[in-house]
Amino acid sequence: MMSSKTKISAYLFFISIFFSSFNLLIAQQAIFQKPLSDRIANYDMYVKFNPLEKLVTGEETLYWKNTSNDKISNLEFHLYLNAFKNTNSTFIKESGGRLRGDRFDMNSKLNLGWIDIISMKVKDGEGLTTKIKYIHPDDNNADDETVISVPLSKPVLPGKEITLNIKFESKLPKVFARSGFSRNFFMVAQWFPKIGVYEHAGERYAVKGQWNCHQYHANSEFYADFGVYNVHITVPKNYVVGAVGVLQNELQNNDGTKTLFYHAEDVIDFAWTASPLFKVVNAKWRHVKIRVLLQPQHLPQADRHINSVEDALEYFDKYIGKYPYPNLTIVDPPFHAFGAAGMEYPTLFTAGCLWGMPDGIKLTENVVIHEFGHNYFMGLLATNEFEEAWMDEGFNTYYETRIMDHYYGKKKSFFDIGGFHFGDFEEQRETYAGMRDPKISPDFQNSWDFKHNDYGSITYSKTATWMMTLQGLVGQKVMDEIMQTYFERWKFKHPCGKDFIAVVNEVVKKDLGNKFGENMNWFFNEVLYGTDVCDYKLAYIAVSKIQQVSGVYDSAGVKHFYKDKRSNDDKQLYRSKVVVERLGDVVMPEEILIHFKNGKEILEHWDGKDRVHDFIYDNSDRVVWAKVDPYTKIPMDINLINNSYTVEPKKTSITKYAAKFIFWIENTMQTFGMLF
Amino acid sequence: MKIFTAYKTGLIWAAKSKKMATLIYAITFLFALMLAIPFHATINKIAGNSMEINSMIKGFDYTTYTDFLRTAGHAISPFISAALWFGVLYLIFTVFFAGGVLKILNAENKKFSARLFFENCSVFFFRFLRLAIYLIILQLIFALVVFFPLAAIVTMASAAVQNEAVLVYIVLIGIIIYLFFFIFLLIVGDYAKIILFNYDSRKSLMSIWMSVKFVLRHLFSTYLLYLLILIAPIIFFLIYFFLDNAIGMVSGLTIFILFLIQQILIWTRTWIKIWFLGSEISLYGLFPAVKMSKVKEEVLPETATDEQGLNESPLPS
Repeated sequence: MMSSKTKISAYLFFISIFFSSFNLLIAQQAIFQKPLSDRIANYDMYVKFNPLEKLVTGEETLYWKNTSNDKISNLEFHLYLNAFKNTNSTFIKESGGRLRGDRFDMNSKLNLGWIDIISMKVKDGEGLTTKIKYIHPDDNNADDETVISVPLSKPVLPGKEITLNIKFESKLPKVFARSGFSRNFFMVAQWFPKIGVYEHAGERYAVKGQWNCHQYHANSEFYADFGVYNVHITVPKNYVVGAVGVLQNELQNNDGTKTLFYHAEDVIDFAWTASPLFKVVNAKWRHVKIRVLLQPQHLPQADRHINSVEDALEYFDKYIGKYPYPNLTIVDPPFHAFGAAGMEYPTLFTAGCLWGMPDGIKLTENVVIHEFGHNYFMGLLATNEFEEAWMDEGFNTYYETRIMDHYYGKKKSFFDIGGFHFGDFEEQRETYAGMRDPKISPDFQNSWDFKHNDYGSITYSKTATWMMTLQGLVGQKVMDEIMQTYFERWKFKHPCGKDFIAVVNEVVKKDLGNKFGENMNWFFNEVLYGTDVCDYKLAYIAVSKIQQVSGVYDSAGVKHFYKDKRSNDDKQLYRSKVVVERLGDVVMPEEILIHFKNGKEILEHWDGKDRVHDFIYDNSDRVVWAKVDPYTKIPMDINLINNSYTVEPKKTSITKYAAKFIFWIENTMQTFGMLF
Repeated sequence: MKIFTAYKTGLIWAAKSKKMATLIYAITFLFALMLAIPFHATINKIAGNSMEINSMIKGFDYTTYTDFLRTAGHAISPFISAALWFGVLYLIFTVFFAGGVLKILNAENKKFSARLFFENCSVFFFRFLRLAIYLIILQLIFALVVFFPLAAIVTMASAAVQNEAVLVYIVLIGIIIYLFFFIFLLIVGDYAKIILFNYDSRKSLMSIWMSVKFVLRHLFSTYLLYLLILIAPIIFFLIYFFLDNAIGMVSGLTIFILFLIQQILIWTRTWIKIWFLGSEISLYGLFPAVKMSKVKEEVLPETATDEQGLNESPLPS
């Protein structure tokens, strides 16, 4: 709880900023002429930042609209900083205090994080502070304090709005997972009491009106309603600040601080960052002002951030839809706060950069493009990351690979040094196909149910791989139409998996008829809801001479004997049998390219259902080779080596690598020999 | 000037030792073949009739490579571990050859004689083996002496500095310091071999000690000579990488051409090793001999001289 001294200073602070901010509120400029979303959860916040104590104290006025037909008699809130309060939080239990290579050092009280609600009351109404109780909707972990429920004496009626005044104090943790501090760098995210989503009956999977307010989990953190944020942040004068939304005004205070007023519209979250070391680089892409907050030593890499985000803006604009916001802030965390790198918030994201990183390693570009993409996948298409992370991370990874491969080369977009190279999609496919067990869990499950380090590989990589497979099946044009339709229909809303599948079914039916059956549900049953793998094999090609008509044949009671009826002019006929096997349980329609000795080629289409399928050709020419999926339309086939077969194998490549092996082993031996 | 005299003398001696270099190269090649033949048979069997492997002919293909490793990695990984063991075995062979190489280089006409070569290989083997063990232990100690303080400095620095470039520089400085000691010990090893051979001693530790004294006394000359010769293999490798890039192993003919170039490079590495030793013998002879009274007592009468005539302190001709 807050000390009395702190309470008084906070009180004085609120009074002092009330008057100064009054003018700011009037000066606030609307970003959009008319609301782009239903603006259910709207916040006015006045916060003061104390970098020494790693504290953010603030007052929040929440305006929340009941857009359902239900009388709502309780509210639910996220208090996510409590995940870093002790070892009993669900977050720490799930993560083991480690996330993305960073370890949570809990040995110092300063390193811990929490959020206290000092007071909560309905505006001009009842006090709620004493009624607050922690709830644990996901795992019944009684010690987890990341979600609260607040009962209301007077329910919020359908179509009505409730206004709450909340005073809170947020202690930032030492950053190891997304938010917190590291020396004088601060990433202030998941930091304020944030209301959950009330899903009305029929919305997503809700059969009756209910709160959807998940605990803070190691794997996921986003699901919120759109709203307007007016946030006044008071920080020491020497700090450079970046935040969600548009800076409206900056006031210099007499106590060595300054107050920055940010206004954001139609966004689902608000985060900000502060550091005295940031160097600011500005750029502009069409209507979007880009602001990059860089570590001083990363200034020479400013262009890498700007160019890649411009590539992403251009690509998303062309293939999905317009980025609606007027600005974008890229935050470059220092190396000692890498736990905060690669995180997404609306109009603001953290990238990841290291001094001296060669151009051939496109890590910065990759992170920038990925995190920017989240403005679409969960920022604009506000899916539930807790329950359907594949629609968030998976779709975003799919676009990340498309953009990376488009701008930096399909086979070298991620890494290209010294003849060793690979593309971003190749890397994602390998992450999935190379899993110890790609069948370990389905894509469609709660994020916290991925318990075997499989969350990333399944949610990001498998989804990207099957999205690319869907693209391969329907073609890029239809795929783009699917995604554009999905975007236009569901932007600023909360789509779920079945909404996306409905769009796929609609567009595929419209453009391709029944090419893939009545609908594409079979596809999603395989790749999204199922765990099976896809693996087709060109098992073998058998070529034999066709025996001409020989033997005794009865005709009109007479036995006719033929011995090789072929005349000298007849060509020898061959029977070529091409045998394809389905090794995996996933069924995909396959193309098989058959190549004959004379150069003729036939592209066969097979529904892929049988375990074994023969293609037989009686021809004067022989089949030389055949390939399953010759244009790699189905990259989720986990083994592409067995997709082809030739009766005339060329061993040049084998010879090459055997020669290289000799050279390598000779050098290895000589290197050992160098020691004496 | 002594450095350049030794550099040139070593080069001339190495030029006269092509047969010896070829013999050692041939053994190296045979060693490699012992692994390469089953390796070839294995990947040939795994690749079977697939056409995908041939997509690697034009260059590296990550998808083919990873799919291949995933399906065949279990069959290939034993070759990798076997290669490391072959490295250890080859080191022992290098120790074995050392006596023969030194004998030929110390012979007046430098003429290669297989009998003389192998005789001295066996005569000095166990002495040099002990010397090699001591030197490797010293290398490990020096590596640890550099690594632990470096790790501690990096840990402390990473908690203090804002700029990760500082950490990179610290690591680079650490690597340079390590390389300095690594090369220093290689030089010490070479002169220890020369001293042990010249005095036909069994005292490996004493020879290391005398070598350290010699190298430290003539640090500039010994070190610079080593670095000067080291330029040659670096240049040869750069040429190789250029040719590999320019020609590329993309057809039967180019595979054959580059295979020949690779083998020439391996032969050259062997030859340069002889050059190193020749120059170092020469330089050792150009300076006053280290006082070896204790070592002299250990002279073994049966190997002190032979028909080629071995001097206690050989001087370049």
